[in-house]
Amino acid sequence: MRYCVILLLLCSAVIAKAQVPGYMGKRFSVFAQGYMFPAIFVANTRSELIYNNETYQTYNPLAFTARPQVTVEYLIKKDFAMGLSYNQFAMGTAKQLEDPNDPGSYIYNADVVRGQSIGLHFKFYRPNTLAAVAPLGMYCTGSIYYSIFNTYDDRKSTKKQLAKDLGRPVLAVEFGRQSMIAKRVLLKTGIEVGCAVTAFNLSESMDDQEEDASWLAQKSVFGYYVFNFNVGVGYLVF
Amino acid sequence: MIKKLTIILVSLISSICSFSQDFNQYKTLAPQGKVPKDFTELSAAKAQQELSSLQEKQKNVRRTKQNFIQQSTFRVDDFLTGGTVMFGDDVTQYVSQVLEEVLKQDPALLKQLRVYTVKSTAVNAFTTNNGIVFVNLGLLARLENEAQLAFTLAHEAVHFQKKHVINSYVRTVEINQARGDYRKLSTPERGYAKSSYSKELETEADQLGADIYLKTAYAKDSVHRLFDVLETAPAPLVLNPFDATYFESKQFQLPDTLVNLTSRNVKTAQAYISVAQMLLGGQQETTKDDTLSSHPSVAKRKKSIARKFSEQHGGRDFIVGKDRFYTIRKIARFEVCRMLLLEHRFTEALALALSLRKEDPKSAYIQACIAKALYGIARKKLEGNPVVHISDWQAQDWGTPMFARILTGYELSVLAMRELNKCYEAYPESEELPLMLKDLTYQFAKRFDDAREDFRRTANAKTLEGLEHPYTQHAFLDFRDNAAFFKLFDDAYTKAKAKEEPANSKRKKQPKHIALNVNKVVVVTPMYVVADQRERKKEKINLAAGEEVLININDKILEAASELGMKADVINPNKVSSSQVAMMQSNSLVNDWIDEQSRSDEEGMISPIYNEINALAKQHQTEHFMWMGGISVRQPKRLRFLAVMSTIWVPPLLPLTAGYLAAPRGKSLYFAVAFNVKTQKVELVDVRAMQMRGTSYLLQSNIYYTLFNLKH
Repeated sequence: MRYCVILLLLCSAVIAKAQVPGYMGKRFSVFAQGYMFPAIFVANTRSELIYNNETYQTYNPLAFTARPQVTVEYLIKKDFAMGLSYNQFAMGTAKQLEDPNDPGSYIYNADVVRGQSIGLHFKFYRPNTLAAVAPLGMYCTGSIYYSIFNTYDDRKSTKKQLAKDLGRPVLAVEFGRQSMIAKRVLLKTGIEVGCAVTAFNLSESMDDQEEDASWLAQKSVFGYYVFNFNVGVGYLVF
Repeated sequence: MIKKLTIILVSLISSICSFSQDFNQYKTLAPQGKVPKDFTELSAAKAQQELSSLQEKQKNVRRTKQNFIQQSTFRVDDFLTGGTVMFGDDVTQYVSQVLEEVLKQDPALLKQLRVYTVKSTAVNAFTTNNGIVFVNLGLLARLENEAQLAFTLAHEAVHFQKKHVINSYVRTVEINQARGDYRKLSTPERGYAKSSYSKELETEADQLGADIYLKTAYAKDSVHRLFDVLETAPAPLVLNPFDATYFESKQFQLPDTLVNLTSRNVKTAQAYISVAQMLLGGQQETTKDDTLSSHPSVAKRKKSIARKFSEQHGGRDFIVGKDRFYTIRKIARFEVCRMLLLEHRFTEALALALSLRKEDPKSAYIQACIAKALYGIARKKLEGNPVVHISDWQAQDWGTPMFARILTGYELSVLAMRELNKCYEAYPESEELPLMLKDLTYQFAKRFDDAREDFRRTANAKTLEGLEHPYTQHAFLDFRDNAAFFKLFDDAYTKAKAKEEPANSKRKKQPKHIALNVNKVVVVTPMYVVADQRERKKEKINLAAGEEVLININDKILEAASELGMKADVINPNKVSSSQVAMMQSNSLVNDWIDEQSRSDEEGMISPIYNEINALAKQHQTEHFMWMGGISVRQPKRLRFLAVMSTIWVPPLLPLTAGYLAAPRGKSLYFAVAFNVKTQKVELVDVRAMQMRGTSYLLQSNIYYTLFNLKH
């Protein structure tokens, strides 16, 4: 997979014209980003939610899930860039009800899901319709991540609950805006909508404790990627 | 004795200077010498200096005056750098000398004034609050003697001395805001109040100007005629009756009906005019109502100074120099002719050029002006656009407009082709004349596809029968090289036919992107506006911020060009030093050209200053000129209250709302239009409206992007 991505990037770089626009022709940028969202769909690593749902998760109006990410990006055409990203994520598990019709029938299971992703993204600047001049202006990104994660007893625990890490692809779309705050320094803000490809027909497999933990972890990852705000700072290297 | 000798010496030098312009090969007026401080100093600094010297105790008035100084300094500077204001040239020097003569008795006032001439057809002179007197060439072209110019300058000097401009602004603001005595006035009454005040100031300027004038040695009887000159100012400048025989030769004779319009048969022409006037409903203004005018009527102005002049007689019409005045006036008239062509007022240009030809029958410039004016009229007529509004003209000058109106597109095109070719044969070095001829023959061929054989090609050829306009068949007989003309004529028909025929072969796929491969570009007169729409900001346009962007834009353009391996010259009058007169000359010419290009309703029309702009292109070693600019608007945040309330209600939204409240909101527009001055075509239009406040980096990126598109 990695070799494929590198090969793809190399091919693109060769095919692309010698110079593209962007800020003074600079094509390669590195971003440090933070994805975050209030703990609505999934609890944070302290098992906190922003609303009081009378379950095992505690109420904290400032509870957030966050994901630090590093991205490298290469402008291939005047309106198109490709990039790779790496991130680490962590969250509390989603609440689980024994009886889906009874909101009070939760099972105490305050596990923590931790994992990391590697992603490939395609970024489109639309100079004509969205009025951008890459890398500044409005953009739209389509990403595919491959996430590997496991569950742990709590946020400090290093003992994996699942013998084998779970790996799931994630598809995400991001809309945002990039501006320049200092020479070569970019500020990126945007919103990401994502979907972790997860099998949800696991309601009958509650007997097995490991499968149960696996199901909870997948459900949490799904909830985690649904919606995120993104703020990032980048540097145009060359 | 010494005084007399000095006068003789000055007159001699003046007469030498006056002949520095060759009217046969007239070259347009351009700035000369060192660039004056008025052009080189930053507007923000000038405004600051003027503000610091402002003395006004009343708070309201003080604020209004401060506002005026801020606004007017930048506006005047925009005007100064707009390419129409001349300095150091023969005309400006002459006008300055006349001003010196007028204010001999008041050196302190003289020291505070600077005079510049303006390339404008408007019959006007005006003064700024900081002591710049602008005199339009349109006014100089109509004056009868130097004394009239002297009175005009005395009048303008009073406007400055009495601070009329700023006082008028303060009063207008008071009236508009219904302050003080104006509280109870209705809207029409306010209009009347503004007009009354303006007229009051004009009358004061006339009277005090007369006092200054009476101290000079200028003729006291010349002034009243000046007002008559001003009264006829709205009508086109025509010096002689229309003479259609100019277009005739032995072989080519116009029909009598057309010739009767000319001075050859004045009575018939006048009768024709009166009938035409009756038919067309053209009415000459007979009564002058100055109720809402900024100036009193001529009769009132004459009356207001009559007493002062009643007991004063004698004096001279010319002090600086009679020959000098006539030369300067001729330059002004030649320039007005050029300006009329640039403004696409072709009939007026034709009338003036035909008048000027009487005095300078051998002038290549005037001959070319006549040919270009006819070309413009013919192109307009072929496109079905109106060529003239007869009601604007004085009845005695109706010859030319009637001629332009009565002749059909066919006849005018034939006449224009004839004149263009004659002119080209006389001046084969011209690049614009063959292009105009080529364009007009093609347009003619396109519209009159069966007219190819409507013309006798040799003197021996038979007279053609059954033509709608039989006289036109002889139009192309008396060229030096008839064959060359008819080759061009036939080529135009072949080209028109080829374009008409549908292509037999399959339509070739147009390439998506054609590389322009531009390696050098001249960026001309960039513009940038910074606006702030936030409520707390009283001044919506931040003029100083806009100026700052323009000062730094040269570096951005050069940096982007260098990054792309391109060369760029920047003609930026906002950043000019005293030695950069060449840049100011280029600025003037390029502005004329861009302005003319933006007026053209007729596609593919060749610019009347094609030769001039091409000479500039050769000087810069590129055909590619680009005009660019931008607007940055800072906008208010409308959802501030909602953001705060929602954060109180849902605290996790804090980072989001904090970000929203902290980040500036705005939008920007960037544009760049690149022209090829050789082909007269627009090569690139790059316009981007972005939901981002314009920043230095965004502008840099946009510039790079445009240059990139020009290169690749």
